Amino acid sequence: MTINHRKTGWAAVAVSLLFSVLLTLNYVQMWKDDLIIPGPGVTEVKWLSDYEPSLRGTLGDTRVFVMEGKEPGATFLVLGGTHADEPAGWGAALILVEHCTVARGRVIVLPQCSNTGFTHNYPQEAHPQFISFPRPDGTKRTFRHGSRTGNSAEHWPDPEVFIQYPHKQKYSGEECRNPNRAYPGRPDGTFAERVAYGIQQLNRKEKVDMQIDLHEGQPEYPFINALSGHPRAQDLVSLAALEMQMYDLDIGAEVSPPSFRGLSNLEMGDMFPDLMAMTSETVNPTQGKIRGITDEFLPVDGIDAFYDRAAQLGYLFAPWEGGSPLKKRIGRNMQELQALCVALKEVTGKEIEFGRIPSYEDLMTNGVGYYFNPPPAEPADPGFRALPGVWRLFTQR
Amino acid sequence: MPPLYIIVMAMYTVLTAFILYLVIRNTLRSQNIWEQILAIFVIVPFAMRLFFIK
Repeated sequence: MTINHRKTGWAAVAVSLLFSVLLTLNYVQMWKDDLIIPGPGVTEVKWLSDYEPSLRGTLGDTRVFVMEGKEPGATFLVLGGTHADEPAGWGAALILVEHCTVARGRVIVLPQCSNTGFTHNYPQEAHPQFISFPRPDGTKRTFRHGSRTGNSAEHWPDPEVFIQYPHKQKYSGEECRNPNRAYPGRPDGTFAERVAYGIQQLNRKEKVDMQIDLHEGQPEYPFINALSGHPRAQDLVSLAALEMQMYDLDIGAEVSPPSFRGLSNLEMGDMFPDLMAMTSETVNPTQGKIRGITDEFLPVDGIDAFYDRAAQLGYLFAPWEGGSPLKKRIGRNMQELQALCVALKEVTGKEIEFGRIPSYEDLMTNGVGYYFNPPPAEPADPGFRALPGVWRLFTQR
Repeated sequence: MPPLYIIVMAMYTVLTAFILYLVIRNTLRSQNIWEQILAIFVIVPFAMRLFFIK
């Protein structure tokens, strides 16, 4: 048989372009905003660009949900999704927005703090693009499972070495896209620094009294199931840890090391003398390096045979019985938010009180999907609110 | 004057387009079907890079 190489060549080119288009279309699905359905506790929806206008029309702009209680009190800022591949952080923040109410004071929630991190993922780590939560009525809610760093299409190119502002600490180049190395931020800095500057402006304008940045870490990482605070917030952190123990939840109380610059709790705590700033970590096997099969179930179910074995050998820094399901991790975060409010009152006399908020036991009983609102029967396509990189030059008005 | 990153990005985009042109030209001229099939793995990432225009 004679092969016509001209024809096979064109076929190879055609197949390549077809694959390229399909993969591109698949990838850009993550550029669309997730459906978030505010619950009865949300009194106002703002955007981060209301605080830092340079973010308007970019993927760095993100929704800011304000939950105002009937009684006056202090202001609590909850940052979820600083790292978009840490679903216990953004999941807890989403439950606050969709389910919870505030009785006293004000809670400001950013469920997708680093929105540009939600617009791409780590395909070479086999991370899923989306994860879903089934609801009791049979419907499900789906959210993006993003990346630890911002989208390189917005932050491109990375430097060889990232020099943190203003302390000049050196990090690897990729860290210039990590929002939790970009604090306190600056209006004319890198994209992540501009997002961090937006959070700084939010803190300034809203006079925030307490801030928590919800994170996750791999099971073989020493700083997990822990609460770390600015040195000034140590009394509050210790009291919150004791309060957690009342519910049989062990949590480490740590101080944020002053030589580790760019973190939200340290930089915001240094900048605002009345702010109690903290970071917390739960256990996420999807981020771990010794995990086995990685799919859309691992971040939710938290069950992994390799980590079972590592736990038997004593290599992990947290209890592992039954794995680390998302309902357990979000349950810990919900209990922690309540513990922090109790501790804030003890330490400073300032009051924040939730009306409706699930406990750890509630999450373990009902699961995560129970606390999300039902999706509309025919959800509208959110479209592209903003495009990254050069595309923005063509689409921005 | 556009920002420096836009200029660098534009240069990368031109370079990507040129590499794609070379690979596609060689694929069409090739007399080896395996070479043509393997070209798919080169064309796809470069074409995606061109579509995204970082």
